[in-house]
Amino acid sequence: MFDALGISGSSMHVHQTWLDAISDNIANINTTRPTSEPAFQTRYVLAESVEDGGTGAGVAVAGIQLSDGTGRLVNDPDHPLADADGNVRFPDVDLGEQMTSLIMAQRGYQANVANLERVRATYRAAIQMGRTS
Amino acid sequence: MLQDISIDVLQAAMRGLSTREDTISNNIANVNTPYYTARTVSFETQLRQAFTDGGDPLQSRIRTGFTTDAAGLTGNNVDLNAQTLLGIETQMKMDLALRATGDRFTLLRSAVRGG
Repeated sequence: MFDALGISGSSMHVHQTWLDAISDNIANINTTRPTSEPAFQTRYVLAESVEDGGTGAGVAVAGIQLSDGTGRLVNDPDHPLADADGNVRFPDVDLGEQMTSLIMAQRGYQANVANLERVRATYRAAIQMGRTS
Repeated sequence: MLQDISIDVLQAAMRGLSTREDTISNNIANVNTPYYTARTVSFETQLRQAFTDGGDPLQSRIRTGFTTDAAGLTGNNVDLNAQTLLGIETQMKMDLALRATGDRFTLLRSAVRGG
Protein backbone atom coordinates (compact mmCIF):
# COMPACT_ATOMS: atom_id res chain seq x y z
CA MET A 1 0.00 0.00 0.00
CA PHE A 2 1.16 3.52 -0.86
CA ASP A 3 4.06 2.01 -2.85
CA ALA A 4 4.38 5.00 -5.16
CA LEU A 5 5.48 7.21 -2.24
CA GLY A 6 8.45 4.93 -1.50
CA ILE A 7 9.30 4.65 -5.19
CA SER A 8 9.43 8.43 -5.63
CA GLY A 9 11.35 8.73 -2.37
CA SER A 10 14.01 6.27 -3.53
CA SER A 11 14.56 8.33 -6.66
CA MET A 12 14.79 11.57 -4.68
CA HIS A 13 17.48 9.90 -2.57
CA VAL A 14 19.45 8.81 -5.65
CA HIS A 15 19.21 12.26 -7.23
CA GLN A 16 20.24 13.87 -3.94
CA THR A 17 23.32 11.62 -3.78
CA TRP A 18 24.10 12.56 -7.37
CA LEU A 19 23.78 16.29 -6.53
CA ASP A 20 26.08 15.80 -3.51
CA ALA A 21 28.70 14.08 -5.67
CA ILE A 22 28.54 16.83 -8.30
CA SER A 23 28.89 19.52 -5.62
CA ASP A 24 31.92 17.74 -4.23
CA ASN A 25 33.47 17.45 -7.69
CA ILE A 26 32.96 21.13 -8.44
CA ALA A 27 34.16 22.15 -4.95
CA ASN A 28 37.42 20.32 -5.60
CA ILE A 29 37.98 21.60 -9.11
CA ASN A 30 41.12 23.49 -7.99
CA THR A 31 42.33 21.04 -5.35
CA THR A 32 46.06 20.78 -5.91
CA ARG A 33 48.26 17.85 -4.88
CA PRO A 34 52.00 17.22 -5.10
CA THR A 35 53.00 15.06 -8.09
CA SER A 36 53.88 12.18 -5.70
CA GLU A 37 50.18 11.80 -4.82
CA PRO A 38 47.13 11.00 -7.00
CA ALA A 39 44.97 13.94 -8.00
CA PHE A 40 41.46 14.47 -6.61
CA GLN A 41 39.26 11.82 -8.22
CA THR A 42 35.91 12.78 -9.79
CA ARG A 43 32.99 10.92 -8.22
CA TYR A 44 30.40 9.22 -10.42
CA VAL A 45 27.17 7.90 -8.87
CA LEU A 46 25.95 4.62 -10.37
CA ALA A 47 22.16 4.26 -10.38
CA GLU A 48 20.40 0.92 -10.72
CA SER A 49 16.68 0.15 -10.89
CA VAL A 50 15.24 -2.08 -8.12
CA GLU A 51 13.20 -4.97 -9.54
CA ASP A 52 10.29 -6.82 -7.95
CA GLY A 53 9.15 -8.73 -11.01
CA GLY A 54 6.21 -6.42 -11.63
CA THR A 55 5.88 -2.66 -11.51
CA GLY A 56 9.43 -2.22 -10.19
CA ALA A 57 10.39 -0.94 -6.76
CA GLY A 58 12.21 2.30 -7.48
CA VAL A 59 15.90 2.99 -7.89
CA ALA A 60 18.99 2.70 -5.71
CA VAL A 61 22.60 3.84 -5.66
CA ALA A 62 24.62 0.83 -6.86
CA GLY A 63 27.93 2.44 -5.96
CA ILE A 64 30.24 5.38 -6.46
CA GLN A 65 32.93 5.13 -9.10
CA LEU A 66 36.05 7.27 -8.97
CA SER A 67 37.95 8.54 -11.99
CA ASP A 68 41.67 7.67 -12.08
CA GLY A 69 44.00 9.91 -10.13
CA THR A 70 46.22 10.91 -13.04
CA GLY A 71 44.77 14.40 -13.35
CA ARG A 72 46.92 16.87 -15.25
CA LEU A 73 50.32 18.28 -14.43
CA VAL A 74 50.67 22.04 -14.24
CA ASN A 75 53.99 23.83 -14.13
CA ASP A 76 53.94 26.32 -11.24
CA PRO A 77 57.40 26.52 -9.59
CA ASP A 78 56.21 29.04 -6.98
CA HIS A 79 53.57 26.65 -5.65
CA PRO A 80 54.41 25.33 -2.12
CA LEU A 81 53.63 21.75 -3.30
CA ALA A 82 55.71 21.93 -6.49
CA ASP A 83 58.22 19.12 -7.09
CA ALA A 84 61.83 19.51 -8.26
CA ASP A 85 60.65 20.19 -11.83
CA GLY A 86 58.18 22.83 -10.59
CA ASN A 87 55.10 20.66 -11.33
CA VAL A 88 51.89 20.19 -9.30
CA ARG A 89 48.93 17.88 -9.97
CA PHE A 90 45.47 19.26 -10.73
CA PRO A 91 42.29 17.13 -10.93
CA ASP A 92 40.71 16.34 -14.31
CA VAL A 93 37.20 17.51 -13.30
CA ASP A 94 35.35 18.57 -16.46
CA LEU A 95 33.26 21.59 -15.42
CA GLY A 96 31.05 21.43 -18.52
CA GLU A 97 30.20 17.80 -17.84
CA GLN A 98 29.56 18.51 -14.15
CA MET A 99 27.23 21.43 -14.89
CA THR A 100 25.28 19.32 -17.39
CA SER A 101 24.94 16.54 -14.81
CA LEU A 102 23.91 19.12 -12.22
CA ILE A 103 20.97 20.25 -14.35
CA MET A 104 19.96 16.65 -15.11
CA ALA A 105 20.06 15.71 -11.43
CA GLN A 106 18.08 18.80 -10.49
CA ARG A 107 15.41 18.20 -13.14
CA GLY A 108 15.19 14.52 -12.19
CA TYR A 109 14.66 15.46 -8.56
CA GLN A 110 11.98 17.99 -9.49
CA ALA A 111 10.16 15.48 -11.70
CA ASN A 112 9.95 13.09 -8.77
CA VAL A 113 8.74 15.75 -6.34
CA ALA A 114 6.01 16.73 -8.81
CA ASN A 115 5.01 13.08 -9.20
CA LEU A 116 5.03 12.59 -5.44
CA GLU A 117 2.55 15.43 -4.99
CA ARG A 118 0.28 14.05 -7.70
CA VAL A 119 0.33 10.56 -6.18
CA ARG A 120 -0.32 11.95 -2.72
CA ALA A 121 -3.44 13.69 -4.01
CA THR A 122 -4.65 10.37 -5.46
CA TYR A 123 -4.06 8.52 -2.20
CA ARG A 124 -5.80 11.27 -0.27
CA ALA A 125 -8.82 10.99 -2.56
CA ALA A 126 -8.86 7.22 -1.98
CA ILE A 127 -8.81 7.69 1.80
CA GLN A 128 -11.68 10.17 1.57
CA MET A 129 -13.86 7.76 -0.43
CA GLY A 130 -17.40 7.43 0.85
CA ARG A 131 -17.24 10.52 3.03
CA THR A 132 -20.14 12.29 1.44
CA SER A 133 -21.41 15.22 3.47
CA MET B 1 -27.78 -8.63 -0.85
CA LEU B 2 -25.35 -5.74 -0.71
CA GLN B 3 -23.15 -7.65 -3.16
CA ASP B 4 -23.09 -5.49 -6.25
CA ILE B 5 -21.41 -6.21 -9.58
CA SER B 6 -20.67 -2.53 -10.24
CA ILE B 7 -18.73 -2.21 -6.98
CA ASP B 8 -16.68 -5.27 -7.94
CA VAL B 9 -15.94 -3.83 -11.39
CA LEU B 10 -14.96 -0.49 -9.87
CA GLN B 11 -12.73 -2.22 -7.34
CA ALA B 12 -10.99 -4.19 -10.10
CA ALA B 13 -10.57 -0.97 -12.11
CA MET B 14 -9.08 0.86 -9.14
CA ARG B 15 -6.68 -1.99 -8.51
CA GLY B 16 -5.50 -1.77 -12.12
CA LEU B 17 -5.23 2.02 -11.98
CA SER B 18 -3.30 1.82 -8.73
CA THR B 19 -0.82 -0.62 -10.30
CA ARG B 20 -0.49 1.78 -13.24
CA GLU B 21 0.23 4.64 -10.80
CA ASP B 22 3.03 2.56 -9.25
CA THR B 23 4.45 1.83 -12.70
CA ILE B 24 4.38 5.50 -13.72
CA SER B 25 6.09 6.44 -10.44
CA ASN B 26 8.71 3.79 -11.07
CA ASN B 27 9.30 5.03 -14.63
CA ILE B 28 9.70 8.61 -13.41
CA ALA B 29 11.93 7.41 -10.56
CA ASN B 30 14.21 5.82 -13.15
CA VAL B 31 14.20 8.76 -15.57
CA ASN B 32 18.00 9.03 -15.24
CA THR B 33 18.85 5.35 -14.71
CA PRO B 34 21.02 3.97 -17.54
CA TYR B 35 19.61 0.99 -19.49
CA TYR B 36 16.19 1.23 -17.84
CA THR B 37 13.19 0.22 -19.98
CA ALA B 38 9.86 1.86 -19.14
CA ARG B 39 6.96 -0.37 -18.10
CA THR B 40 3.27 -0.32 -18.95
CA VAL B 41 0.19 -1.81 -17.31
CA SER B 42 -2.85 -3.15 -19.18
CA PHE B 43 -6.05 -4.31 -17.53
CA GLU B 44 -8.98 -2.59 -19.31
CA THR B 45 -9.39 -5.16 -22.07
CA GLN B 46 -9.22 -8.09 -19.66
CA LEU B 47 -11.68 -6.42 -17.30
CA ARG B 48 -14.14 -5.68 -20.11
CA GLN B 49 -13.83 -9.28 -21.29
CA ALA B 50 -14.48 -10.64 -17.79
CA PHE B 51 -17.52 -8.37 -17.50
CA THR B 52 -19.03 -9.41 -20.86
CA ASP B 53 -18.35 -13.07 -20.19
CA GLY B 54 -20.18 -12.78 -16.90
CA GLY B 55 -17.07 -13.81 -14.97
CA ASP B 56 -15.76 -12.41 -11.73
CA PRO B 57 -14.26 -8.95 -12.46
CA LEU B 58 -11.95 -9.31 -9.46
CA GLN B 59 -10.34 -12.32 -11.14
CA SER B 60 -9.40 -10.37 -14.29
CA ARG B 61 -5.68 -10.07 -14.85
CA ILE B 62 -3.47 -7.00 -14.55
CA ARG B 63 -0.55 -7.33 -16.98
CA THR B 64 2.78 -5.54 -16.59
CA GLY B 65 4.92 -5.24 -19.71
CA PHE B 66 7.79 -3.28 -21.21
CA THR B 67 7.52 -0.40 -23.66
CA THR B 68 9.21 -0.72 -27.05
CA ASP B 69 10.12 2.95 -27.54
CA ALA B 70 13.62 3.65 -28.83
CA ALA B 71 16.19 4.26 -26.10
CA GLY B 72 18.26 7.43 -25.87
CA LEU B 73 22.02 7.90 -25.44
CA THR B 74 22.13 6.26 -22.01
CA GLY B 75 19.99 3.28 -23.03
CA ASN B 76 16.99 4.70 -21.18
CA ASN B 77 13.63 5.05 -22.94
CA VAL B 78 11.51 6.89 -20.35
CA ASP B 79 9.54 9.73 -21.96
CA LEU B 80 8.93 12.15 -19.09
CA ASN B 81 6.21 14.09 -20.95
CA ALA B 82 4.29 10.94 -21.84
CA GLN B 83 4.60 9.59 -18.29
CA THR B 84 3.41 12.84 -16.74
CA LEU B 85 0.38 12.97 -19.05
CA LEU B 86 -0.41 9.33 -18.41
CA GLY B 87 -0.09 10.00 -14.68
CA ILE B 88 -2.62 12.83 -14.83
CA GLU B 89 -4.97 10.72 -16.95
CA THR B 90 -4.69 7.83 -14.49
CA GLN B 91 -5.34 10.18 -11.61
CA MET B 92 -8.50 11.49 -13.31
CA LYS B 93 -9.74 7.96 -13.96
CA MET B 94 -9.01 7.06 -10.35
CA ASP B 95 -10.98 10.10 -9.13
CA LEU B 96 -13.85 9.05 -11.36
CA ALA B 97 -13.82 5.47 -10.07
CA LEU B 98 -13.63 6.69 -6.47
CA ARG B 99 -16.52 9.06 -7.05
CA ALA B 100 -18.61 6.32 -8.65
CA THR B 101 -17.87 3.91 -5.78
CA GLY B 102 -18.67 6.58 -3.20
CA ASP B 103 -21.96 7.39 -4.90
CA ARG B 104 -22.84 3.72 -5.05
CA PHE B 105 -22.32 3.44 -1.30
CA THR B 106 -24.40 6.58 -0.75
CA LEU B 107 -27.21 4.91 -2.66
CA LEU B 108 -26.93 1.78 -0.52
CA ARG B 109 -26.81 3.87 2.63
CA SER B 110 -30.04 5.66 1.78
CA ALA B 111 -31.63 2.30 0.96
CA VAL B 112 -30.59 0.96 4.37
CA ARG B 113 -31.87 4.08 6.15
CA GLY B 114 -35.06 4.03 4.13
CA GLY B 115 -34.69 7.47 2.59
